[in-house]
Amino acid sequence: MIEIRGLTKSFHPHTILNHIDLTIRTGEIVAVIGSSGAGKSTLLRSINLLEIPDKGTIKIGEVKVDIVKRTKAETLELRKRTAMVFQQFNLFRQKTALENVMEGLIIVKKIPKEDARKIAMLQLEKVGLIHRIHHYPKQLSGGQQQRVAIARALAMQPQLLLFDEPTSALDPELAGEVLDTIKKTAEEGNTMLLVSHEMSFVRKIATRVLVLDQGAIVEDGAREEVFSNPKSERTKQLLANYYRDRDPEFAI
Amino acid sequence: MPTIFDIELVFSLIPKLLKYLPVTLELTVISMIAGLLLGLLLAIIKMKKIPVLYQISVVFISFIRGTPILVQLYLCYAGIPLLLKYYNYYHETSYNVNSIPAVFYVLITLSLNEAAYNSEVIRAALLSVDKGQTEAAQSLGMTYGQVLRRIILPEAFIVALPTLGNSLIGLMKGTSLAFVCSVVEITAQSRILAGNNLRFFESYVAVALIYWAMTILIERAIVFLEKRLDIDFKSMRKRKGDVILD
Repeated sequence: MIEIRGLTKSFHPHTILNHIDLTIRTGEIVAVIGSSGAGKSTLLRSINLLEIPDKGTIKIGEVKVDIVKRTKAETLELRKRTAMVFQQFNLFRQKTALENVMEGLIIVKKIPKEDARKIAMLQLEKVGLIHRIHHYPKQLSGGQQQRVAIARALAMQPQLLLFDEPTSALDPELAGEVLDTIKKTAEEGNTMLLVSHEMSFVRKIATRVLVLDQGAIVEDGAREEVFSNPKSERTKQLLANYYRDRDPEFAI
Repeated sequence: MPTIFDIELVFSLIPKLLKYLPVTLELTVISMIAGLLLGLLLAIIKMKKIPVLYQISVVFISFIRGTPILVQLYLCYAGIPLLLKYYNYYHETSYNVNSIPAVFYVLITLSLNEAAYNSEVIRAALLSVDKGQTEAAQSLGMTYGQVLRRIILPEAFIVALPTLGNSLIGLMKGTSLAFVCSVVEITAQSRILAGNNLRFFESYVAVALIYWAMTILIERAIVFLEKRLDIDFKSMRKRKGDVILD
């Protein structure tokens, strides 16, 4: 269970996040949608404190962190309980796919090297890259890199997986393989918070949809409810584009 | 006609000079390692803008860059005994100035000098590592020290390698100033040998050839290292021992 209360962040004079309250139950797949600049990425990055909010509390499992009074140990603890997949993959360039996945296991979780290797191999096999374990990021395609990044995140067995526009940097063909991997991850019962512009994908995998506008949650509901019966004006506008694209160009 | 240039003498002098090569190498290696560590420290102080230390490091680097290394050696050679005298006076101790080996002064000066120049190279290299990798490492729950050691330094090292190689060559040649503190290394020895038979030019040619050869060796070593650290090369080696093939 993840509880976020009163999360606020501003870059003066703009308020990026305005008192966000959010509770995510275990196993939920929450998609965050909204136009760019709505604060979606900031929300995600605030949860693992890559971005330091001005105030608020974040509770993941038993760990509760008050932003204002946070300690270094609490910050690390929060980060250990989450794992993030970035838009630009952010793999370690000087490490192979296998070493990328092993890194957190060895350094953060202090798992013996041989065991870490086994876990990493398993995760890489799950994302379909067992034949690429000794390749370095620059020798992999964007889609493969992102799948390694997903394996790296999954290996840490986080209580919350954060996806920050995982397919925005990929062309549609490569995005497909990444989306399939994310879908598989979702089906395994992981708790996920996902920022994505791929509306049809969101509609396929999310159990719950949040609409963020100007730093506030303007709509929060079950997937089908939001897609077929949006309440707020902002959501209707956002979905208008999605439905327009879905309409056939010609009808007989 | 007397021999104007005795080429045979040059080659017979080289083995005699090589006996002092270990001194040159010792000065180079120790100063380089100390210079790298201290340079890294200075770079981090500058990057993180740590109060007080930051201001001290700015003045220090500016001073080292603004004075000739020869003058720095003089300062060190004359200044450290003075400091010791002060210390003895106020703490009623009796450390002997003469117990400090002459090499110590040279090592201190060269290390500090190297640190000041390396710190800028290291800082630039650290900044060249893109923030995404740091963020990814942090998001896994690594501390700053772990991120620095495991992620930033290995990549920054590759970026800084060619420049640090140049600085190593400069340092190796810089050790020739050690005679100021009465340390005998190859250059000092070449003067001593020349004093015996007054064949200065032959002696200097011999020592020049040794420096040149050393420089070429260092250059080669750097190129070799760069190749070994190349990603495609590393990947090939790792894949070789692997059963799974594409």
